[in-house]
Amino acid sequence: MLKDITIGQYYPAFSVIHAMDPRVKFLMMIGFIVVIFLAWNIAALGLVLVFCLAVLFLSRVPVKVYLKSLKPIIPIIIFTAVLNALYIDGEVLWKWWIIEITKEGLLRSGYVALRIIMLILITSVLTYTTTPTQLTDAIERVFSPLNRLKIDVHVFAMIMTIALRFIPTLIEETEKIMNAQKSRGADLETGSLLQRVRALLPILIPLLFSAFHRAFELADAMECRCYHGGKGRTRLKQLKCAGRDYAAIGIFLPVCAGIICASVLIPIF
Amino acid sequence: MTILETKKLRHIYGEGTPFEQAALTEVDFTVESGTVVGIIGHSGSGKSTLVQHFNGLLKPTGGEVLLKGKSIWDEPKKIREVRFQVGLVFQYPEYQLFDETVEKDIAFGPKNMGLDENEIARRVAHAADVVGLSERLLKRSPFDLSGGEKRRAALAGVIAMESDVLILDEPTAGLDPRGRDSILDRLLRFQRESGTTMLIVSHSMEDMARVADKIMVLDHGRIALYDETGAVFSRAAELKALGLDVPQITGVFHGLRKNGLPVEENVYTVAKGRDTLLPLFRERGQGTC
Repeated sequence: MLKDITIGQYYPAFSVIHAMDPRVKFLMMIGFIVVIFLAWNIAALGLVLVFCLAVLFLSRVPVKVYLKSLKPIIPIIIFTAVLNALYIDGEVLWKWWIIEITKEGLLRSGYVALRIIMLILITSVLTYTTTPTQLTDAIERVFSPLNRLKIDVHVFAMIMTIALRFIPTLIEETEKIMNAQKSRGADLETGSLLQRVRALLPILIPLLFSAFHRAFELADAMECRCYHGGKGRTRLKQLKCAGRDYAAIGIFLPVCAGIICASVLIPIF
Repeated sequence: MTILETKKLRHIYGEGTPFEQAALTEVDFTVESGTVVGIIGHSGSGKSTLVQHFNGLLKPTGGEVLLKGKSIWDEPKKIREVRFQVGLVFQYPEYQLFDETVEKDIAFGPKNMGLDENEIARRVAHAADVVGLSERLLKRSPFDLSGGEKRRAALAGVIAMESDVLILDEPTAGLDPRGRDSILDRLLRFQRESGTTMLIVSHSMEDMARVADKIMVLDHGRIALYDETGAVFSRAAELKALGLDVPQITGVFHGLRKNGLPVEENVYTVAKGRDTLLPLFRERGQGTC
């Protein structure tokens, strides 16, 4: 069902990772993604894996929840792994007709699969441990230097907050409308492509109508509370780096350095 | 004749996930053809879940739903046929309006049934007449109507399917008193004329007293009471324990009884109240007035 979509889903728990400053988490995640792509051998990837698992453990989010976030990308992992296994030249292990599987290919596909899994897991850590508001707040602050280039970062952050806030609402609304039209005999499952696109109209039109309606209502509500953009706006919750954030940076940077060193100093395979 | 029946109906949301929640447990329920059944229960008691099983929007976790003696999930591919036989109007159904004109919107259901144009036109005209939408409004865009008119248009959209069973989830919620009375009266008249079996979910005990032949009380996904309207409303203490109430007029009569007046317990409409009290007045009044 539509409800299974888990974009930006926050998993409430009490952990060091939950308590960290969202800016630090956000920047660390970006840094770690870069590092994942720099890791080119077993030693480096092993370090990445250890660090990733340590963070997962610290986040106190159940393993089951992480596995659920991996589920939708399993086909992508398999696809890339298979392609890599087939197209890398090297020591042939197994051959049938024009299909060759090499030792290097197998290793490479293992690396690639592992790398994609790490990518998803580490971004999941961020979304599971950070509320959408915290996250947009962090993004606003991280990108605030762009204000000098006359880009209104606050506006973009606000748009993002609102969009994230309304994803569940719109999903619920879509389900409601679909049920109502199905009750009137709307047929969404069969027919040619054109017929199916036409069958979507009775759902899309009311959905658009209500989305606009909601947007106007929200705008009114915001104006009633004197919202006038980011200028001179103060915050209820000030973001502050605490000891744990400096400690996290203190651990993170050497780990990254270690991974890069391992990747550079030890030969690829 | 039984038209709709559930046998040991169970429904669990999100089975096998940490968010698992039982919404219905062992619901055994039968509806006689041509009657009006009221479904009441506090929020979260499973009313909406139950009615969505009747036209196959939800599939039971366990047990079955029988329509005219046949399980509706016997042939999953023919579930649309079930939806044509069991019309369902959701709460605040205005959001289902989408077509260019009210007329075309009401025709959406009948068109999906594959009827010919004359029949569709007849049904649209009839449904509009049932809910009291004028010819002039039929040509307008549904988005230009007032709240009450939109409600009528949405109701007409389901009535036009002329299903054997019509389920209404809070059809009068959010309407002003006059709009509420008018819609209820029209629905009731339509029910009497067509003999449609009707299931109405409502929070208003007054509305229930006016329209329902039988009332089912749901509590935590179980049937707490299911009996004739008068019999259900005579059990005020039980209803109050379930977070519900009796119609105000019933409350008055329960009070009168407690104070020693020889009145019946199952008075639940003002009209019946008047008919009970007037003879009493005449009887006793002769001495005192």
